Amino acid sequence: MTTGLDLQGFIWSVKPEMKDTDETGRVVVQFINFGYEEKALPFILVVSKANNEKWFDDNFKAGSSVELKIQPTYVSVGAKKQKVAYGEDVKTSDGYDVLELLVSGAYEIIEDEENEFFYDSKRVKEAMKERKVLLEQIEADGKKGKKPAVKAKVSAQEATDAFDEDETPF
Amino acid sequence: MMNEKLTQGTNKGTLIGILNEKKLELIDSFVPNTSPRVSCKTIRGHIIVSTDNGDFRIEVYQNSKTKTGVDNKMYAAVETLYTDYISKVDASKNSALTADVISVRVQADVNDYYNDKAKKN
Repeated sequence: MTTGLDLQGFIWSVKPEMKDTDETGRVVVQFINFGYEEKALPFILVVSKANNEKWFDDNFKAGSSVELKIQPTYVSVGAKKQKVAYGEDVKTSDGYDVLELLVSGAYEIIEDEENEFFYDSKRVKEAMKERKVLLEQIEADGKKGKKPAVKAKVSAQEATDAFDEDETPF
Repeated sequence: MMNEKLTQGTNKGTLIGILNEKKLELIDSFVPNTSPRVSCKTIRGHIIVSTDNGDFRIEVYQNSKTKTGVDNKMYAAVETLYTDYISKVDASKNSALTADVISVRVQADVNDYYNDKAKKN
């Protein structure tokens, strides 16, 4: 029961993952795949300790063209547990799932400038500028009220009302 | 000579897992942007595939005809999914059934939108 994805593109940056001011021990890779008509598709990838993040950090530098093997994985975040006097901790919040794109492998870096999958950094920057313009357009349209993407949320009040304190036996 | 074209790069993957949930419906519909309108069958909804790396929700929307009115080759596969495949939810209601293992071809994409509440992209 596996998941796997091959992504070809350009490494924009390789940085240690931070939580507040501490390094988590993982590496975050900003990676750009190019779609139809040179459309830039930026992704945030993660290299975990299990996949030798140090080796990746040492060998794959920003500006490289490479094909990576990715393992899309849902990870649970924000779950909270409460310690109890006896027995297992009680889960007080399930949290939610976040999709992470974990780097599980990589082909050799493409250094031949004539290779069709060698991405020139100058052209990549241009494509990212075009993307910035596109995002500004989406934002401008959104502010004018064109199809705002607002999702309904269950209010905290509604969720807590289900637990009526008056009905407890203590 | 340096390649200055941003060639469309590989972007393909596979999910293999148990068909956990299947919420599909078959409706009578029209192929969009056709004049005169081309009527067709449409299967729409979603499935959830459980893998070792989590549960993936996959949206399904497939018309039986193309814009020119000929049969859409993809429809037969989605129709088989709709009629024959057994989900875990189906199997839980009937002990004679076993949930199917399914393979889904996928690709990564970015979903750009403006969030009116957060005031950001």
